[in-house]
Formats: sequence, C-alpha cells, structure tokens
Amino acid sequence: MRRTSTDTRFAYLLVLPVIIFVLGMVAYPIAYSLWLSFQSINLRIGVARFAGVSQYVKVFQDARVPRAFLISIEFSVLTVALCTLLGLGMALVLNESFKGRSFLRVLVLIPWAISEYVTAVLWRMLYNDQFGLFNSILYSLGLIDSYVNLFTDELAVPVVALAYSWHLAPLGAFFLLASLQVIPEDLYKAAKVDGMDSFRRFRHVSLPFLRNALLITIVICSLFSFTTLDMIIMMTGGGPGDSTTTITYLIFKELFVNLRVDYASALSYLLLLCMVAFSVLYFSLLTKRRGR
Amino acid sequence: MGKNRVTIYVAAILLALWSLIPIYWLLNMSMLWSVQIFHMPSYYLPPTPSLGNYLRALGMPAESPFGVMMASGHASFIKAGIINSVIVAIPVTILTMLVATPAGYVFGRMNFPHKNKLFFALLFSRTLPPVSIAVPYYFFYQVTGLLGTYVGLILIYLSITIPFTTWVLMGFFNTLPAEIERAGRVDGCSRFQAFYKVIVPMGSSAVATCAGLTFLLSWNEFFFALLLSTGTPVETLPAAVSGMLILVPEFEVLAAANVLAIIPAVTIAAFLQRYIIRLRLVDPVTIGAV
Repeated sequence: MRRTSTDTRFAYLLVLPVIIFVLGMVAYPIAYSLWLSFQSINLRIGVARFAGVSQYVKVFQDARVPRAFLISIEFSVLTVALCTLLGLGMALVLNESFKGRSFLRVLVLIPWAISEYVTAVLWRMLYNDQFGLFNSILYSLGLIDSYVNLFTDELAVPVVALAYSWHLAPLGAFFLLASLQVIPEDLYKAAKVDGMDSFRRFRHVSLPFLRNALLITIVICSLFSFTTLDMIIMMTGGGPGDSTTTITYLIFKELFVNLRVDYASALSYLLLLCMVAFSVLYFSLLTKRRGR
Repeated sequence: MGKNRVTIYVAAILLALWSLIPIYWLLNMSMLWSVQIFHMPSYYLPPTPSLGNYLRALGMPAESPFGVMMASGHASFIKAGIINSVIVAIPVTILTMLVATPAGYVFGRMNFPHKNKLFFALLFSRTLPPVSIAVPYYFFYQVTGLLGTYVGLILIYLSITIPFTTWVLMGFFNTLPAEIERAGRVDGCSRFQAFYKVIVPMGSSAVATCAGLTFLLSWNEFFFALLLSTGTPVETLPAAVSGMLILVPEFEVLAAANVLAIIPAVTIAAFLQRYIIRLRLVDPVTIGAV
C-alpha cells in the first residue's frame, strides 16, 4: 500500500480520538488507585493521609493474599485445561461435514453469548442441593439417598471452573476451528494414502496447523479466568469459607464489604503489575512465533 | 466410513446436549410452580407448563393449579432493568460502530508510524481486571454526578466495547482484497469517500455482526452495572437479577427473569453465527503487524 502524508494524517485523525478516549478512561483510574494505595483512608470520617508503602507492607504480611493467588491459579489451570479440551473437541466435530452442522454451530456458540452472571445462575440451578439437575439424576438412578451439597471446600473450585468453561470454551473452539479450516484437504488425503489412522492424522497433519490457535486459546482463557469476578460473586460469594476467594474476589470483598479502599488499591496494584507482566509475555510469545 | 459417521453424530449429539442442558433446566424451572420445584426427584418436564412466572416477573399475578400466584416483589426492578438495559445498549452500539468502523479500517488496511504500539495500547486496556479500576470510577462518578445516570454507564461501556469492536473489525477489513479500494480511488474518490462508499457497503455483514456483538457486550455487562447502577433509577437487568439472589428466593421467577436476559444472546448467536465464524478473531498479532 502506498504511504503518503495525507494517508498518515487521515489515519491519525480516525484513530487518535479513539485511543485518547479509551486510554483516558483507563489511565485516570490507574493513576488514582496508585495515589490511593499510598494513603491511609478512613471512610467513616472521610480522612486520607499519606502512609507511604505501609499498605503494600500489609499486603505482603497478609496470609490471605498468597492463598487467594493460589486459588486463582488453581481455577485458571482447571479452566484452561477444560476449555482447551472442550474447545478442541468442538472444533474437530464442527470441522467435519455432516447434516445439521450449521445448526450445531449455533448451539455451540450460545453459551458464549450468554453472560457470565447468567451462566452462574444457570449452573447454580444445576448444582443446587434442593432442586438441582445433577442431584436429581443421581437420586433417580439410585446412586444417592439424599441430595448432596456440591459446594464443599474441595469441590467448589472445580465446580465453578466447570460452569465457567461452559461459557468460555466456545471462544477457544472458534479460534481452533478457524485454523482447522485453512488446512488443505490434500494433506489429509495424502495422509490417508500413507495409511495413517485418524489419531495419527490429527497428530501429524492437524496439530502443526493448530499450534498458534492453541497458544492463543490458552493465553486468552488464562487471562479471562485469572481475573473473572462475576462468576464468583454470583455463584459462591467466595465461599464456602474462603475456598473460592480468588484474588479478584479478595479485592472485591476488601473494597465493598470491609471498605478498606487503601488496602484494596495496593492489592489491586500488585495484581495490575502481574497482568501487565503477563500481557507483555503473551505478546512477545505470539510475536516470536510469528517471526519464526 | 460408516463407523466414522456414527462417531461424528454421537459427538455432535453430546456437544448439543452439553450446550443445551443448562438452558433447558432454566426453562424447565421457569415453568414449574414454587411447590413443584422442590419435588424429589425433580420434574424433568414441567407437569403444568405455563408462562405464569414470566407474567409474575413482569409484575402481573398468574393463575396456577395451586391458586393465584402473586406478582414477584422484584418485578418493578426487572421491568425497569430491561428498559434501562435497552436504553443503555442502543446508544452504546451506535456510538461504538460510528467510532470503531473507521478505526478498525485504519488499523486493518493502512500503515502509519507507531501503528502496532497504538493498537497494543488499545487492546491492553482490555486486559485490566475491572475490579482494579472500580473505586476510582465510583469516586469520580460520585463527584461529577455521573453515578446512577445513563451517560455514566454509556461512557464506561464505550471504553469496553470500542477496543473490542475495533479489534474484530480490523481483522475483517484486513481480509478484503485491495483491488476494491483501488477501484474506488481510480474513480476519483478521496480516501474517506472510498471508505464509506466502497468499503463499508462491502463489509455491511461484518459491521452488522459487530453491532450485534456490541449490543450483547453492553446488555451482558455485570460488574460495572452492579457497582454504578444498583439501587439507582438506571439499574440495568444484570444488577436487578443479582438483587433477586439476596431477597426472598423465588427460584421460578429468578429462572424466568434469566430466560428474559438470555433471549437477546440466543437470538444474536442464531442470526449471526455464520458471520461470527467468518470474522477473523484469530490472531491479533499477525493482523497487527501487517
């Protein structure tokens, strides 16, 4: 494409207002919460005074913080594993040609179009210990005598991760499907002629084409699941006990329940730095792959 | 061949069930009456199906085999929530498309200095967890009087939808063949005329798809709605629904309200499926580095 100075001016004219608006909407709160994190604030009497790094010291002394990080990581790892497997399964099925494929595509897409908070309500109704579908099926089959509570200390994180994966997996499926569709048909034919079974064809023909899409799926699912909050608010409220208190839910609780604005700001700043590090890693990983 | 077909159909049916069963259960719940909900084991089909709970969710009493059921105490919030969600989502969609279509075009088709940096700045804004920027917004909105106003919600939703929609449209414009534009330029169009006379009509299906997705993003947004609209006259549907979990549990009405909340999602997914697949959401980096 030809590059002229009028073109450059035209481009900036259209793009800069967007960037300025969006970054303004983000930069202001980031700067403000940096200021908050160096204060000691009493909301009841409305007094703020400079407190140096004392909030950060409190964060590092707080045993709930490493625990919340671990819960977030556990939740992310489970979600990423589920979404990648489910997404791959969906993509492989949707890549075949069969009757009703476009209808199935709609069905598979629907959970992604449904918001996180409705997903939480939906799955609460499936898991419920008074009228949930899962309990009812187990009971009908005679496997349990009375309904069981699935939100226990051990099960709560996997239970929420499964629900969240229902909502998130279609996104990965469509990244993967788009990559599958560019694989030339001839490659499969050649592989068949060579006598490869379907697993080997997947391993040696499809998988090399899927590497980038798999990486993107993993990165995006981990970004989303590490910071999800809507699901936790609507599904467990961090409980039972603190077993689903992820790092974002801990910040949420400190802000809106305990009203510790200063402390929560310091904590969210540390999370922010983690996310920046993660994003930089993500982009450099992807660019490196592309440059290869 | 035959065995292969069977495997595919079995897998397809399993996928359909996986996607549909949670939604079916919500529909089922919304058609049971409160006394039927706690039956053990559950009714897998509503024995007395009716839309009564939907009427109750919208503030009307309903006839049932167990006598007249009162309207939900939460009905006024649900009704107002639906109206408010629409009032917010429509301007968000229109403004986003007006801004993101040209921006997506520029990112997708033109080269200019610092393009990649600008694009990453735009996408980066979306990797921030909303909770980490929540308090400054709350204070700022309180001071400026934007708290509990449509304008306040619309502004914050635009900061979410514009980067996303720009990204998607950029992928789309990037795939259009270059000749189309050249044809327009040869006919004596300026760059901008070529854009809105040639490119936008060419991409009308993608633009429409993005408008649908933008509407959905706004309609589905939960966290800022909870923070900035709960208990105010502009409370949106997500905030209203979350309020139902705290109050007296009327699970059948909760189910009905959630069915109402997913109708736009299901409709948009059904209509736009074909186009959504064609959009190149795939690789922000490859596209960004063109």
